[in-house]
Parts: sequence; structure tokens; C-alpha cells
Amino acid sequence: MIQTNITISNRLGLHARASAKLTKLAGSFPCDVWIARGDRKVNAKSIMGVMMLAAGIGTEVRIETDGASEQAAMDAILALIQDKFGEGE
Amino acid sequence: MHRNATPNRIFIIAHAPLAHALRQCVLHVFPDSGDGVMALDVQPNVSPEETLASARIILQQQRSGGTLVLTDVFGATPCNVAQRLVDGVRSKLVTGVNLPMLLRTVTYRHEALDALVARAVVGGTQGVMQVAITAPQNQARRKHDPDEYNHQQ
Repeated sequence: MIQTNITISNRLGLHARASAKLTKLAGSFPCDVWIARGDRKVNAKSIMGVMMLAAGIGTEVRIETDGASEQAAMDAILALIQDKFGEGE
Repeated sequence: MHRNATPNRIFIIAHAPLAHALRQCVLHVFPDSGDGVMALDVQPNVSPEETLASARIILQQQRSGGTLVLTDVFGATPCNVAQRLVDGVRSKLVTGVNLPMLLRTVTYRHEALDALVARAVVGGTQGVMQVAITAPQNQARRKHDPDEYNHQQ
């Protein structure tokens, strides 16, 4: 299991479309993928779970991946968040 | 997780303009899900028989895989039409559609149809909650019946 902290940097935060991209990406990997804010941890493959985090810009979240392809999953998810979910701001 | 070769389709049947409005919301969030989500707005001036005929045409466009039909409120015309439409095997019906339910069903539409029905019901239910002034993640999850009047249900 690997885990990494990252700060949400897009202006709209983990809103519906960003959450959809995250869950779709997480769902493409065989390993478990979790995203946590504080002590609340949800399945990153579940869109409603991710949206319930209500993580806005500047929020630090923790990504956890566990199982097959866990490093690839972690790299891809960090890249998506760093790319501001492709939203450009 | 069981994955179907052909993902299920979602078919929204609701009072106009809710069905197409919900579909538009889903496409905003999942831009590439257009093929898998259909909508039929039930107009007040159209007879149930005509609506059913329109719904059958849309349903028959399916080549393989199942269809989950979502409708807005039990007992109303859209739901009554939908009940006559689904066969319970290749198509199943859930009422009380809302956006949380819809987003969840689109996410899981590769699962078996029975599993998808459960996803829809849970997703729709969990999306309804009082939003406190404190951050949502600090809220306790709503109990099924906070007053515990279970015996009256």
C-alpha cells in the first residue's frame, strides 16, 4: 500500500465533473484506491463518496492505492490532480 | 466485480422537462456517456398509450445488455407507463430518480442489472440529507428514521 498527500489546486475543487474524472480513472485500475480528507476516507471509485468529501481548492487530501498496479494508479491520479483535472484553472 | 460485456443502458422516463434535463446534467458530468443514457419526457397532453408506444421504440433500440428504467414518482403517469414497459428480466424499474442516483448508476452501469438496481436505490437515498452549516464531512449520516417511528411505516 502506498499513500501520498496532495493539495486540490483547481478553482472548483472536487466538484461533480472533477469527481467523475477521478472515479473513472481510479476505476480503470485493478487495485483499491482510496481518497481521504482528515479522518474521512472514501472509495475513490465511487463518485458520490468522492463528492461527499466536499474538498475545495486548497484542501489537502490523502490518496491511498493498494494492490496490483498501485504505483501506476498513484502516478495517474496525482497527475490528474496536478493537471487541475484538465480544467486549466 | 461482475462486468457485462455490454453495459446496461439507463432510460429516464419522467414528467417533462425532467427526463431530458436530468440527461443533460449527466452528460455535463460524464460527457462520453451519451449512448448509454436515454430520456423520454412525458407531456401532459399526450395519452399514456402514446407515451408507452414512444417508450417501446426507444427500448427496442437496445441491441444487447439490460436497461435500467428510472422514473420520478411512484403512482404518476410516467411510472405507470414504465411499469407496463419493463419485463423485470432485461429491463428493471426504480422510481424516485434524482441526480445522485443517476450519477451513481452511470458509474456502475457495467455491473449486472440486479446489482445496478441496488446501486440506484442506495445512491438515491444517500444523496438526500440535511446540509448543516458545518462542513458536510463532519455531519453524522442521517438515520433511516431519526424519530424512530418505524412502526408507523
